[in-house]
Amino acid sequence: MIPLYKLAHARAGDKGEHTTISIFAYDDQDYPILVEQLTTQAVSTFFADLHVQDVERYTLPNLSCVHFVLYGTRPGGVSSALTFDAHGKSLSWRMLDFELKN
Amino acid sequence: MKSIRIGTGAGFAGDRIDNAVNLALHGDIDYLILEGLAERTTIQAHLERLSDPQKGYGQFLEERMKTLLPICKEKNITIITNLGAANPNQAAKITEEIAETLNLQISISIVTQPLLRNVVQNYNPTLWETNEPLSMSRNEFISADAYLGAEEMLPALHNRPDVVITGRVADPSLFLAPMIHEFNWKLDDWDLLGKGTVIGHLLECGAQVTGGYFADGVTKQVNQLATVGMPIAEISSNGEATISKTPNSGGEVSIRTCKEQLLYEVMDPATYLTPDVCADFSQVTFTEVAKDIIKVDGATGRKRPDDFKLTIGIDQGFIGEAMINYVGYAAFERAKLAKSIVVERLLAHGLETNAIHTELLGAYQTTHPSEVLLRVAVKSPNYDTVGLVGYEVEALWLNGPGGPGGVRKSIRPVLSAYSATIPRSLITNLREDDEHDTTL
Repeated sequence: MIPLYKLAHARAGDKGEHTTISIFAYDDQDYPILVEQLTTQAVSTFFADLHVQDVERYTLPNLSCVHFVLYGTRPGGVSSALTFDAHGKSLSWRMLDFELKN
Repeated sequence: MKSIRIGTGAGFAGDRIDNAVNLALHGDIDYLILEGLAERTTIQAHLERLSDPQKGYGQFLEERMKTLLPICKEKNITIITNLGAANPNQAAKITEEIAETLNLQISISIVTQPLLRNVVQNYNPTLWETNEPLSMSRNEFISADAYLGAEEMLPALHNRPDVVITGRVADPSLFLAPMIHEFNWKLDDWDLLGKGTVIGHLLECGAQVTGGYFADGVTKQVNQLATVGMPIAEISSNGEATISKTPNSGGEVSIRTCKEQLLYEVMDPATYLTPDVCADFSQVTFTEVAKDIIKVDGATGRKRPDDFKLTIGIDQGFIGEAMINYVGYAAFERAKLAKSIVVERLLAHGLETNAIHTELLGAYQTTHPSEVLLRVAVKSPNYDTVGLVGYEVEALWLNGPGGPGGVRKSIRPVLSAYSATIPRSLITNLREDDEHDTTL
């Protein structure tokens, strides 16, 4: 098992009630591993505690990037969110703990 | 081929003013963009204007203008800012007064929109977040703004004034408008507008592309973040562009920082909607031209949306929150005990279980944290109800588990931004001096 942070960097953004998480392989050669293992199901399971409605994935081979939209992470949007991390910026850093199979 | 240089002097309302000063002094730029409106701040500005017609402009407008006007005037830099917020007219007046005290002759133009509350109320759009018509909202509807685009800004750029002050405009449009103005790009040249929009998107968050919101102190090391530079884009009339940063500043502009900012807050990379274009970032590539200079290629676009996006401000009352920490032996158990006490007390006060939000900060994925911060938060239209949170958490000092650390409590108003769309014609057909609103 390799934690994702050994192979990739990531950034989260907020868009209304949803969270975007972009994962970038440090080495282009590792991009296929991300594509294979970071499925929408895997991400949905990883963030089970958030009860997201849906997870969408986009792949950008030119940038060795797998990009996720997590729908419904903060009902009502940022300004009325009750969590300490209202914007959800820490979610991409949580995701970097994702365990990749060798 | 003609080219211009655009720099970001602020990526949000509270951004570092000295960063903007350094950029203006040393960046050799033509345009300085100050982005200072978040959803909540626009609604807040409307509330201020409603109670005082001389208020409702953006935060820190005066401070920024005082420091930047002399430099920008001397270096022939046009400032473009959305710090007009809900009152661009007043923001322009204040800016003019500041210029006078500094003995500067400056030209200011503004981009306004009529107060849209009544128009939007009549149109009664469906809110994206609730999937219900606006009329079904039980909370008070305060304000509505359309995200205007570059097209609406162009008249203000005529004759390139010293300062352009706008209200709510789409962030990338603040950057695209000067490109269209300088290069005479057609408003339906979707490819060029897409190329300009990707540059606006890369620059709109300030240092987020120059090494900010990036470093981890381990694998991703960034030098001198205390003096991180602000981004500069050099764009040519054919849409080719490079990104660099304030000379002799900290931070980095690299393929990796550009990648992260490219997809920030983007949903479908091939369909990034702005009032100006449906931009397509899916084929973008970055190339390092030199240290801290990155070339951006591959963006394009399709026909722009028929509707304007609206941001609708709704008053949801207040959020009351409080925090208390426990350190050392049994910190986790004491924090959990404290949490159960506060929840029991709040339920006894009549709050619903699902209205009480609790967090144990410091306990993420560990069962033996040596320090834990218990945080409790409640949202309600009722001020006294949310005040109970601070009351009960603070009472833990004498009545709760042993050895609590500090306690902090606060209450803040909640102004929520909701999204909807409205046909362009309903906005653009309103006359500029139509005031379609009275007091609430």
